Amino acid sequence: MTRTLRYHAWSLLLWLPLVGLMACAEAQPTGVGPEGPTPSAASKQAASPVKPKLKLAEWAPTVRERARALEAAGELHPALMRWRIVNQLVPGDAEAKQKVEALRLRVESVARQHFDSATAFHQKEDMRQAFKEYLLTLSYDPANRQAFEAVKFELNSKEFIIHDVKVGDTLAKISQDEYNDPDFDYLISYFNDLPEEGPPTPGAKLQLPVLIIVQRRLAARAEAKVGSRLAEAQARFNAKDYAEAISIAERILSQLPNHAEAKQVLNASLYERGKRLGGEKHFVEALSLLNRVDPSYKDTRTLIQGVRRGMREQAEYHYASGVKSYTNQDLDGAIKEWEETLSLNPDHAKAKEGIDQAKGLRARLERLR
Amino acid sequence: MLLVVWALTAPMLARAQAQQFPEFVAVEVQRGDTLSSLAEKYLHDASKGWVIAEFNRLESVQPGQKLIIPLQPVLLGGLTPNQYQTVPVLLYDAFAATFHGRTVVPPDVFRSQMTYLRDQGFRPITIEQFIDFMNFRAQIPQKAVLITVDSAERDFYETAYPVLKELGFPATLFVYTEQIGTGGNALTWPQVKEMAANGIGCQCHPRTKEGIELTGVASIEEYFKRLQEELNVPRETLRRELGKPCEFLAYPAGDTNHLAIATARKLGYKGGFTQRQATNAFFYNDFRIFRTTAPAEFDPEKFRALLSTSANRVLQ
Repeated sequence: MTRTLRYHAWSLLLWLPLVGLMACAEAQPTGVGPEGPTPSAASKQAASPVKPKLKLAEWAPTVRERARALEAAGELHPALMRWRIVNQLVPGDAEAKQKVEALRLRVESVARQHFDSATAFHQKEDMRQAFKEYLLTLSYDPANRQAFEAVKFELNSKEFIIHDVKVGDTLAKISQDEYNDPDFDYLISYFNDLPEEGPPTPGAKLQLPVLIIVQRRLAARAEAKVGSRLAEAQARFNAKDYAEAISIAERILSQLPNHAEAKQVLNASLYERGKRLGGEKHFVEALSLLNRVDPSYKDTRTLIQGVRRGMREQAEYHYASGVKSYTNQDLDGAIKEWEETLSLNPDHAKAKEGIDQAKGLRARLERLR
Repeated sequence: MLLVVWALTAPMLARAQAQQFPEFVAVEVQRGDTLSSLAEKYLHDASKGWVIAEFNRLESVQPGQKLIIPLQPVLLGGLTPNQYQTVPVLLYDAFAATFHGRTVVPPDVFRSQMTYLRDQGFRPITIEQFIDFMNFRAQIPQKAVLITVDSAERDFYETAYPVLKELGFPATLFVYTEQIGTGGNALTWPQVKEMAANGIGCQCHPRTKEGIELTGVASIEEYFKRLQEELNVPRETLRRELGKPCEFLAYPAGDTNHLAIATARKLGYKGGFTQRQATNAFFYNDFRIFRTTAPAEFDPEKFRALLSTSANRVLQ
């Protein structure tokens, strides 16, 4: 019994302070729940601070000192934040109240001045000064999204070209306008979530990826790759194998249409092969090659005139041969010769007439037989 | 019984006295409070002790100290009329001498460099904190540094990861996802998951080392198709393996171009990392983040020179 009583007495002694401490702890003015503040709770607390109040004025001197130092250093935005804190810690503090109002106006004014200056520089395309002024704007007014967008995107390295869609624009037309090539419409469609068919909406702003650097790198790589093929084309040309030289140069130009050296090899090869074929009286093939040669290259114009003259003479030769065959009643031979005439001179009226006559006569003879 | 009483009452005794306002909390430090515990309680993030430390200009807290805990960012981008913050992003490549042609940082050098960061007050941040800084959304520590590692090799797990874990430093690992789990010296997915649970976030390279290169393609159309695959496959692999897609890309050898960036952005990436040696201001391009290669030897002065955390060039 005595032992039981003693046990309960000890227990009481131990639990009493605990109960007391718990009561004290409950009374502490934390103002913050175990889960932390919520915006609505924070607002309520701001309107009516939690009871019982702390001696908040004791927090103010350090904050005030820092606010003054920041203001002296020209860091007005963080200084204003500290003065607002002092003002809330000590609501009747005259200095804090005056500082909050004065600094707020000053910060707004300085931010506006820098922003106006930034936009003026921006319009004048003085991007360096515009950038600096936008940054200064943000240092006083971090919430200024226009200033942020300017320093982060507009005046920075751009990954996209912005295209304002006009009436009549199609993706192919935009591609042609922006990339000088209508075939990048699929990229415009992909990056703007647009269907490939149908025009984009006029007034829309499209983001087009910058391609120029990739295009240049691809061209440079392709050029390096064709170097050996070009050397081969040149070697075939030097060996007077003009047909092969033409074939290689054409393959290069199908990938790199503006490759100057390949164009030169092609031009020279077409000229030499055309000249050779003309000399061999293969006038049609010769002319088709010479018509592709730069007219200012060597005596190309004279050569073409010579080929055409040769073609006319050759046409007349075949026409005469046809007449001879017709006179000898060789209708098939006559038709063959006159068709040859027309291949050299499609406007040869007598050859056309002769073919019609010969074919008509041949048909009548066949019916008689 | 005494222990029970103490255990029950200690947390209450340690509970800070505080009063909250919309912009801040006024707190009187109680016995047992730390920067971390205060940050956990009032900022809901134990890693944000630095917010309290920097605002109140102190290194640690003592009972009776009267603190202000700001509830909103104080200095976005570390921007003042006179300067702006820059963040060094350290790049580690390899940790074992077997990797020829790469910058190998021996384990003892890595430990020295990490210890130096801690002793000099640098605060490694996560890649998510870094991108919030870059987009003017959140404040980060004044001496923030981002640690990145381009490696899918077990050497990292065995030598560098334990150091980071010991110091409580977050870091970001960029991997070629197709290397993971291939045996030999390659990391395994369980190792990657374990590290992710301990602050080492996993991001990706393109699918292959040639992923951004123009080698072997003859046209933009062909290149664009390859880019889409190269950038999409690792993103989806991480989604499948870790439950979250890859959001940040490290370009192989640091090289990139406009079309690769535009494609990465379109696929949902939030940023890309080069190997250009410089620190980063918030207004720099999120898809051309600079990284500084960590030196293979530890020289405190030279190492410090890589860790510039403020600049004013643009404001001059």
